[in-house]
Formats: sequence, C-alpha cells, structure tokens
Amino acid sequence: MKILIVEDEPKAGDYLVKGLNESGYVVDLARNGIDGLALALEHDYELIVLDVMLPQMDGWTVLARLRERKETPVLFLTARDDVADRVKGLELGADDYLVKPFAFAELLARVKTLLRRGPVRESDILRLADLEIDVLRRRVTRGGQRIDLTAKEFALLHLLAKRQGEVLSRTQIASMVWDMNFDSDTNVVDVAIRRLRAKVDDPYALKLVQTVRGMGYLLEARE
Amino acid sequence: MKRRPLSLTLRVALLLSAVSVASFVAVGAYLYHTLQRQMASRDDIELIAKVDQLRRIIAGLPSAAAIASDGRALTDTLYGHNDFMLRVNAADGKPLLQTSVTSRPLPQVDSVPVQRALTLDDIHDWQPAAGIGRMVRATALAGAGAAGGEPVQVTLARERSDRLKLLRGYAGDLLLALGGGALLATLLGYAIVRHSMRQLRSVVAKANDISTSRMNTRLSVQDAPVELRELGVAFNGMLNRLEDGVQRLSGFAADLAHDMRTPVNTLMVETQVALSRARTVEEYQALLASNSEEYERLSRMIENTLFLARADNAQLALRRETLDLRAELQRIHDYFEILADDVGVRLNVEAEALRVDIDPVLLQRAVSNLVANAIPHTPAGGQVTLSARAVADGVEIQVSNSGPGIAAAHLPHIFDRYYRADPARSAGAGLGLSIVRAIMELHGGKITVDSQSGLTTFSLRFEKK
Repeated sequence: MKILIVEDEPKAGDYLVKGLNESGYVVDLARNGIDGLALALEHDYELIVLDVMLPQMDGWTVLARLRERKETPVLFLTARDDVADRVKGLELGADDYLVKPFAFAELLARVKTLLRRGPVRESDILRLADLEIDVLRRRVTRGGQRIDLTAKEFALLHLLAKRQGEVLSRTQIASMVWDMNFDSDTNVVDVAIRRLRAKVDDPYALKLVQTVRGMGYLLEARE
Repeated sequence: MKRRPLSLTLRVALLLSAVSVASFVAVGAYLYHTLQRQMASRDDIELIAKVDQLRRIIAGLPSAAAIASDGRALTDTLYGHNDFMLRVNAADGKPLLQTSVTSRPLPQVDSVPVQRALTLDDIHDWQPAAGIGRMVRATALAGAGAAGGEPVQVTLARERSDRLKLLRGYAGDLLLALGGGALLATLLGYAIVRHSMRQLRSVVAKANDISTSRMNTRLSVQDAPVELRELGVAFNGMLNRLEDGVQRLSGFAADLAHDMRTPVNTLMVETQVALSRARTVEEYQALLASNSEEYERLSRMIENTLFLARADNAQLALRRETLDLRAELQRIHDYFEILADDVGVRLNVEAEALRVDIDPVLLQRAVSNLVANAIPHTPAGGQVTLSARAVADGVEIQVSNSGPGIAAAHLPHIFDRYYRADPARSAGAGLGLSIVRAIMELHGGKITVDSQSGLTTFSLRFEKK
C-alpha cells in the first residue's frame, strides 16, 4: 500500500510519515505542491494525503491538475473548515477531508476507509483469542462461558471487535455506538469501557480491551 | 477605460440646466409663433380693408379712363405705406395704373367678383425679388354710379421684408434671453445643490474619522434634512453593530488567550520537568499521554471558540430536519446513562411524542451540554430529568436536576463565555452554556434557567416553524 503525503509543515510531514509507516504503509513525502503533483503523476499511489496550504502551488491546484489525468483517491487536510472550503475540495474531486487539529486515530481510520475496496462483508461471528461474538444472536462468550452485556455494551464490543487491532478515538466511539456526533468533553466512553472490561476482561488473565493513552482504545490480545 | 462618474452636484446642476433650456425653448418658440401669426393676420386684414377702400373709390369714379388719367385718388389711400404695390387693369388687360412694379410678375390668381366681399382666403402668397409678400386680386366696377359701370381689375400686393426683419430681430432677442436664463439657472442650480450637499460631506468627514479604536463618533441626526436623517440613522445603526461586534471580538480574543494559558502552561512545565533528567520509558509514555490529553483539550477549546465565533457571525448554516424529539432525548439519555449511573444519579426521560424541525447535531450538542453540566452538580441519589412538551407555538425541552442549585447572583451570568460559577469545580472551558445559548439563538429559540428549592431547570424553547 503506497501513500503519498504532500505537506509543507516539516514536523507535520515527519509525524505523518512516521505514523503511517508504523501502521504498515509505504509512504512518500513531498514538501511542496509542485513536487507533490510531479510525484503523484509519475507513480501510481493508492492514496494521496494532501494539505491545502502549500508553497508554490496550493492543494486546490494540485488536486485540479491531478484530476485531469488520474483518479487516485485524495484525502485533504485543512486548517480551515468553512463549509465553502469543504465543498470546494469535494467538488474538485477530493474523496474525503480532515480538519486540523485531528486525532491520529481519526486519520488512520479515514485512510483505511479510503483504501478499502468494495464493500466489506461483515462476518456473523467475530473471534479474538477465546472471545467469540455471535453478531446475529447477540451472544458473547469467553472460553465458552456466556457473558451478559447490555445493548450498548454489546455495540461497543462489536465495534472494537470489527476493527480489532485499530485504535479508535473516543469521538469515533461516541459517534459509532451512541450516534453522538460532536466532540464532547465528557468521559462517557471511558466509563463505558471500564464497565465493559469488568465483564469481558476482569475475570480473565488474558486482557483484550487495551487503552492507548492519549489516543483511544483497541481490541487486541495482550498478556 | 471606464469613465469616472460625474459628481452628484454636477449631475443635478446639469439636469437642472437641461430642464430650464428645454422650457425656455418651448416658451420662446411659442411666443415667436404667436407673434408671427398675429402680425400676418393683422397685415391680411389691413390688405383687405385697403382693397375694399379702393373698390369704393373706383366705384365713385366716372369711368375706367379716369383711373389712368388721374390715379391720385387711388394712390393717396396708400400714402405712407411704401410697401404696398397697386396695379389696376382695364377689363381687356390694359394697365390703367401701376405703382412700384416689381421685376417679377404677380402670379395669376382668380379675381374676386365685384358682388362678393373679400375674405382672408382670397389672400395669396407672392414672391417679390427678395423676401415674401401677400397679395389680393379683386374686380371692381369703375363708375358704378352710372348704369352698369366698367369692370376693372385691382391687384394689391404687399411686401413683408420689413416684417421678417422685425421677426428675426425678435428671435435674436429671444435666443439671447434664453441663453442667459439657462446659464443663470445652471449656476444657481449648481450653487443650491452644492449647498445642500454640505450635510453629506459632513457624513463623509465623520466616516473618515472612524477606526476600530475610535468607534464612538456618531452623526447628529436631529438637525439633518429628512433624506439625510434616514442615512444618518442607518449609518449610526451600522456603527453600533460594528462597535458591538468589535468589542465582543476583542473581549473574546482576550478570553481565549487567557484560557489557553493554563493548558499551555501545563504542557510546557510538565515537559520541561520531564526533560530535566533521564526518565524511564514508562515515565516518558505517561508524559506524552498526558500531553496528548492537554492537546485534545486545547483542540476542543479552539473548536468551541470557532463555533461561537461562527454562530455570532451567522456563518453556521442550520440543517433542519424533522426529528422525533422523544427518540433524540432517549439517545442522549442512553449516552449519559452510564456516566450518571457511575456517580449514583438517576437519569430520566419524560417526553411527549413530538416532531420538530431542528438541526439534529446542534440539538444533540445543546442538550448534551446541559446534561453533562447537570450530572456533576447532582448529589449522589439525586436525579436528572430530560423532558419535552408542546407549548403554545412551539416545543420546550427541559433539563432539570436536583441539588443545591446555582446561587441567584450567578444566574444572570452563567451563559457568558468563560463564566464559571464555581471556578474550582468546573471542568470544561466555560463555553458549554454559551454554546447552548448560541445554538438556541441560531434556531430563533430561547434558553432560560431557574434554580430554587433544590431544583435547577434549564428550558430550551423552540418556536414552531
């Protein structure tokens, strides 16, 4: 999976490269619009992460020029989130946008979504170590032992299991489990995770629900 | 190249002069034509009178031959009128009498018979050597006293050159008066308009005087003319709004900067302390995680500030949808239930089935802010109630909680930005309630708060659209 990042801010460029590298992507970095466009036209990237404010040639122009020749998916990053700006980006052919400052987990999730091809068929039974989730019957067991979960606890565990190995931010979780679509100050998600753990993890030696401090939560088997 | 538009003063003055020229021309032309017509008709009447007189004299003469031998009786009638020309012919065409013959012959026209009186219709134009003239030809009977009498033909013509000269002089005078009048009207008009524009120039001077640091200048509208009073009132209104906006903006910027100090300070000091000596990997991880939380707080603060700034400038577009209010409240209830349960607070929903047109994300945000605010202020064992009911012309959503409540002194200020009733206890950036109010204002709704006898209630009232 090869990704091109076009970002002029040195620190931002470096951390994006590092973060995406460590998440298993091959990443090229261009530090201005002209280089970015040249690279994008020369190589076949699977995704381009494009900053809007760039020296020499801005992101809009890069996007417009790119779309004349190629349909590579583009995720654009912007510090301005006026509706007009967003609409402009999408009209020029961007596939998604992210407003700065963003959580890295959020960026990763968007990148994954854009790289995912075709609809993903969700399996009816999700497994991790000795945890088994029967989605249709809404039954959860660990080591064959039935665990009773409330509807929301089930939804939370289901989400983490579907995206296992992927860090989910609190905002993402609040949006996908409770349909709360704004960044709230509350620690509802933390309390919910704590309760889920009490049922799913606490009685067992192998812990599955992991906290990534400062980022969010993920489901992963860890001793 | 685009021409610079003329000044209003000049434009009005020019229009004024155009109007005066047009009316002068119309009046002048009318006067000229009236004079011309009157002169012509008076001349014609005189011509007819003379011919009548000549006919009578001829009738008194003994014979046609007497006209040729002694024409004085006839020419005497024309004495003093040297623009008249008289010719008398015998019936056979032989000239009997002729005065001042022109080089050009008189045109052939029918003679008016003796027995018929002359009318204005019998007068014809005639072209002398220069200019124009009028002529009449009539038959007369010489010696009519005797039986029968001899018919003769009388032709009387009159040259009008002097009349035309008179008219031309008159036209010249008229033109001169007209030009002078138009010039005078233009100059006076310019002066008057310029004088009236003085008030406008004072508006310009005042406007030039205004800057963001000096916004207290206002136009005096009392002594201004009606047209300018409206302008002045509008201008002052605009200044009031601008001043208000600028003041809010600068207060806002100061508040924001102030509020960012705390997290930035935490970040700075925490990081510097950590770097002052070597730490274990775990310690570094803890530091970075703690920093990340601070950053998220800063990021939320910026987002909230931006939200309020946009709400202020009405840059936020509402996306109203028809919502099932009870379902929306239930959703919020489900989200906060765990949190409430965790601190021993009961969270209830008491809602009628209502459908409303509200932006769903903003509704969620407003009610969530209130609930998030209520839960920590409710003692364990207490309860927070979300309710919705139909009221006259709208719906009312209430979030109420039991507990000690908010002191009356704080109530008027709790919606102000960064206002904290209890600085030690408040966790958020102090923008939550301001955001709720902004959301209500965007919807044209109202928020009120009431806190007494152990119950604090926030009411959101949405008008039916």
